[in-house]
Amino acid sequence: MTLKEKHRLIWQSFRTIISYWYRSPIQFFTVIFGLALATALWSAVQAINSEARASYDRASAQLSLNDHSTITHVTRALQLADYVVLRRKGWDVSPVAQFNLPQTANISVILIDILSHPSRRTEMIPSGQPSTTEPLVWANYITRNRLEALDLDIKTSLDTALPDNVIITDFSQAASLGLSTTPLDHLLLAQEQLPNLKSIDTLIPGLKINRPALSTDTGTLTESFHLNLTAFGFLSFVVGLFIVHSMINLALEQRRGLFRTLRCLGVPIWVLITALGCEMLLFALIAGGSGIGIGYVLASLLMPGVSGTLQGLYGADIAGVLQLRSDWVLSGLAIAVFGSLLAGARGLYLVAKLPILQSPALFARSQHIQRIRNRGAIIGGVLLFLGTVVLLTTNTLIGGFIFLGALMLGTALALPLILSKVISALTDRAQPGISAWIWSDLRAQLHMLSLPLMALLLAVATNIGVETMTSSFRLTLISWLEQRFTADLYVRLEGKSAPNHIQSWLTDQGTTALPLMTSETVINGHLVSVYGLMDHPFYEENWPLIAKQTEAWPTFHLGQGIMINEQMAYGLDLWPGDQLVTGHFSQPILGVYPDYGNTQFQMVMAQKQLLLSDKPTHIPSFTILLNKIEKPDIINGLTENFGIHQTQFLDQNSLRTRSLAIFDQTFLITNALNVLTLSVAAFALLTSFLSMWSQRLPQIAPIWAMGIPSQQLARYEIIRSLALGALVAILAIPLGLVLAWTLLNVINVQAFGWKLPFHATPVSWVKVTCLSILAALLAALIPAGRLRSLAPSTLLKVFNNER
Amino acid sequence: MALILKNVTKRFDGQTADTAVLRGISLQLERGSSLALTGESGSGKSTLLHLAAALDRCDDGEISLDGRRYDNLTDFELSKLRRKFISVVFQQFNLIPSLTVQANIELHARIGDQFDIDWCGALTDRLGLSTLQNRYPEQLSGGQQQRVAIARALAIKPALLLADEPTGNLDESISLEVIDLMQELVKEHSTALFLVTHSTQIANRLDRQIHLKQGLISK
Amino acid sequence: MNAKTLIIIASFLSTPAHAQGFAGLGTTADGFAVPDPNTQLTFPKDHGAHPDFRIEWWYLTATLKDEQQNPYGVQWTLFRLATSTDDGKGWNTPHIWMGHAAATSETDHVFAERIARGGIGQAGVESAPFSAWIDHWQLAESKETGTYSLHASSAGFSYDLKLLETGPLVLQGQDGYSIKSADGQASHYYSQPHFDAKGHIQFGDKRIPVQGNAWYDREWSSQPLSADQTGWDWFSLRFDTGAKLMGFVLRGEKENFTSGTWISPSGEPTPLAPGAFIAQPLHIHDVQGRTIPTHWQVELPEKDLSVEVKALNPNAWMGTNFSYWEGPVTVTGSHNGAGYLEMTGYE
Repeated sequence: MTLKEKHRLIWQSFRTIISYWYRSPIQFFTVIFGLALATALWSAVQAINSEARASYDRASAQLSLNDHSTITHVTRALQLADYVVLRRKGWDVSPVAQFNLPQTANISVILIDILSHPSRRTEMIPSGQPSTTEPLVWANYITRNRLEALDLDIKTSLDTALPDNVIITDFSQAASLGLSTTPLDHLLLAQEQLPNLKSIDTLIPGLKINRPALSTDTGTLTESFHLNLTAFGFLSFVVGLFIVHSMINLALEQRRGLFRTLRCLGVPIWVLITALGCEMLLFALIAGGSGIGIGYVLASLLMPGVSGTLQGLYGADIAGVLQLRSDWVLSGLAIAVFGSLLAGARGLYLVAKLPILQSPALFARSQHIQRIRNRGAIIGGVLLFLGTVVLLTTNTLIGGFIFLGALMLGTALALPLILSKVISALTDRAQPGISAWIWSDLRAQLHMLSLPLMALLLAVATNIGVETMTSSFRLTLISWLEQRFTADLYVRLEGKSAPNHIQSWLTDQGTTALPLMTSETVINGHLVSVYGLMDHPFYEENWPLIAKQTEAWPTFHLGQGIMINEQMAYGLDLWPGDQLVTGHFSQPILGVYPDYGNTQFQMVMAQKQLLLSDKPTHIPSFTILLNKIEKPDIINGLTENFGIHQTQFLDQNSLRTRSLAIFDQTFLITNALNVLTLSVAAFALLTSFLSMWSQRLPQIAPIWAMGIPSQQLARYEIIRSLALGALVAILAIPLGLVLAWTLLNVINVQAFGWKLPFHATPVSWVKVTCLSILAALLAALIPAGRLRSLAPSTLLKVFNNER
Repeated sequence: MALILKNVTKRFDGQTADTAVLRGISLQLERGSSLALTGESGSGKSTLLHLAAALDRCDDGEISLDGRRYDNLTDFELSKLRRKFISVVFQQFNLIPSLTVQANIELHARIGDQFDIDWCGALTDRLGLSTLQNRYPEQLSGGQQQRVAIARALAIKPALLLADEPTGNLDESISLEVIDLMQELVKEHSTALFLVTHSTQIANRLDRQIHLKQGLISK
Repeated sequence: MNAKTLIIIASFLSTPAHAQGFAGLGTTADGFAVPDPNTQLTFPKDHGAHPDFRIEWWYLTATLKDEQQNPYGVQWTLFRLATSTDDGKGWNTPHIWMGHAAATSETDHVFAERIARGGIGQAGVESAPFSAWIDHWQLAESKETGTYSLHASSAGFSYDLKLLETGPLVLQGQDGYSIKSADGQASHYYSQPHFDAKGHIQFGDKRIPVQGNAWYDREWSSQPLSADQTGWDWFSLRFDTGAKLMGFVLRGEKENFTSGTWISPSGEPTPLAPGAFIAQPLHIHDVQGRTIPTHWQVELPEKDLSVEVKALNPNAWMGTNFSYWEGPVTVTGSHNGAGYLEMTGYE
């Protein structure tokens, strides 16, 4: 055969199989819509994930302006010369000075060197580029508006990552703002340094490195959330695969006769497969394209909340527009194409194996189905077993994900057998007659429905899992924020401040000032931050512990034991009752506290105990209980008397509201995605019902002929679907809980070192079960409607056609 | 000789040599002549027709068409044989419901890469389908659909035309008309016609008749 | 942060919108001093910086060998760029300093870049005793021994060399006035090609003792290129006979401009007339998405010189903010030897 003949042959075959859709436009749109929906689900999750990531980054920059280590001098202010000496010895440091803007109450100016700043380091461009008039002064919207209100002629560039009332600018601009450039406040220490440098206090005695103060950075917390969203994306991918699979099989199933005829007319099998492959690719591209469109619209509908949050934060409408990012557009198309091919592989294989002639051995079918069902259950069981073994033996993040995959897939594969057993039991208990027929008929349908039911199971389980995870997450965050940040105000001190003076001033004002003394040590190769807490009931009332000994706090304040954070407890496997021994130091562990924003090991001990140790200590922050004194008075007083800048205050209210606003947004998005996943599953169920339609008629016609009106048959159809929906939902609840448990207790611990407490939310289970039943109802409506209005002649044809 | 079957045997799963559906069938059919195969339900008529149509393979014996032995051919070559030389008319017509009458008639010829617009037009006229060209199969009566199937089969000017109960779904008067038409056309184009039927009245209109009983030719 | 930082530095450098040629070197000099053929260079004053001029560089390249006679190359450069003619002090200085360091072997090429502001002591040049530095990188003269020490280090590599002067300074062009185009663009340019070098290079954990020669170039100008010149190919070649050749091709849109200096074994310079020095690419090499001629035929008919100049490592691309190709070369043909090749403007 010449190449031209081959092409002509493929083209003729392609035209013929494609002509099917011309006569069945509704089904065409069903298939396209189904595929598009699966793609949409995937790309919406991707889009929201990447957009959320971007907005979290902005928000977390808001919460912590500065997470670099700094260098200060213990006795004097830093001078430019100190900076130059360190630079000339190879240290990668950058100078920072802080002043209050003249004529303003509390606008801080941070002066930086844009050529050496570790995170704002500039890149030189070839000077062939046009210059710009963007000012070298950055501020957020709120600060900008304040500058305008104060009628100050300061041109600023927008930087939404900055906190309120803070301006950042280059040293070269200081004079134009009426500021001096000396003394320096501190030097920033870049994370990467050259090896073998002389230590800084050898170079300049009195210099010391300050690690970032008690972390308020929620970065790792949000990282954990991303991981969970990614897991959600992964699960939605699997649900998507199921629907694509059922769509493609529907399209192939209904054209078996056509394929046979073509084979009879002499179309070789490879031509048929090629033509079908082309068709699949075409569909995947059309559906993938529209799916990305739907996903984009969906994500845009969900995003206003996110941009709303930002609007609240920055006082202006920014970044609310969803960007068409190439990563999720391409991944959407890829999932449509590869997903279709993957999901269609089995269908194509079956077509390839399709005998030209109808097999005479039809009677063997039910045994065959039983075999498939058992095989699925066995594979599922093996998967579950292997997943558990991996989880128990490896104890790693990958192990956690493998377990998650095995759990979901294994349960899904076992579903048909479980359902068939349950329905058999129901059949046995049913009254002989019509109700026995209903159940046995349902059982006969099971094999056709197993895939969409698996998708429904996974969708429901994912919903329960993700919902449980999100609410656990949120509840934990709220209680943690409330407990750990109960004090009214936190002040972070920097090099030149004198803690003693500040403390006595604060006490004079009538507030309670609790200094947080810090030091650090190395235990088993881990850098551990050590904090000394004053003896005050504030801690016992507000410091949450996840495990403790009896009388933990009184013993603690006596200096007879320490408490460690959860990361350290997991990392070194130390729990209350154990003894921490390192060098001469040996203390019992009295309690373990959660520390969600942190990645480092940390321990707290009584202040006097820390003072007695030979460690160098300093006081980087104060916890202030206002005792009804006005907050602005204290802030202004500290600013005026001690030169403390806006950036050094941490207001618990704003921290809490901001953090919660962000998480509530994610919560909303998750909810919307839940509904979407379920509708995809419902759609899969619907298409299966439709694809079973032609095979249902011969089963229904005799019952109809026996005198059951078609209206009643339609009712049965709906009841059957509802029963399936409810059954699957009930089976999915435990699966969802195991999923949530895995996310909170395995994945999270492995990835971040802390466990999130499990908060069961039965209300959401009921909600999801109802949604699942609703999905089943929606899926059954069209077939039931068709059944209701079925013309007797159509049913009679069943008898005519029988040979 | 166009079609030659020598000692053809066919067994399905679980059948022994004694219970095989075909137990050593031999027959010959030359171009321009017609043969009717009769027999009761389950006597193996359709199986024999499928073997002759290269849709299925026999277990023993040999089948050849114009000297090409089927058992030596790959699936791909068998496909080519069907594409170019063999046409089948089924009781269920097996038209493509999504194609128009005209496209259905042209389909086999186009797939076989021997489409001849004049010949297809002539067939359409001859079979009285000219006014129905743009209709779809479901809009036609059974007799009309069968005529479309016959037109499609003859559009490739086949060496061998096989028909499996082509009139099974048709009234008696239309049945005879269809058979006569087929006879006429195969004579004109020296095609060999092999027709399976359970009706002796139809069988008698063909050149030769054989009867199949329990896997053997009985007459 | 990236797009923003580009904007920052663009405004910081307040580069005119009509910047021309490689790295804006073809931009007109408005306000800055212009090289004058009547200027007599005086030392040590002219070893120091010339802040009235827009651009200036201290450029050292060394061709070295280890104990097994494997060849290496080292580059150390300090640039000064004035962003305006203001004479701001301290943080308000208009001078940006830029350091480039690279070490090259047949298989490796590593480089690093430093940027600092002048005026605060982080980077600068002193003329006597001579020292040029940016952060901890420096080229400095020792008062006691008269030798120079060179140091640069960055993540993954470092080098330390001691340099000893073995011959006189060489004034390029007409007594140090080097013409760059037919339009008359020029720079002040002198060299010290007579350095013995000894020390070590460290690639990762591997410390390699090396020995060889170094070539030092000093050049300052305000508009060294004419507006239509897109880049240059610059050769500094050292022959086994003891003679040396500095030659360059300035690639113009309309025509190329070549010039150079022949340096006798005793250090006597002979300026070459425009066009006397001929360099033709023999082979091009793809590096970092650019097509670069890393193999040349160099001719100087008046000295019966016809040699092939071939890169030791064709991948010696300097992926710095102003990117270019710079690396050691081997010389074979009528004369044998080694040297350095610099090629700019291949975008």
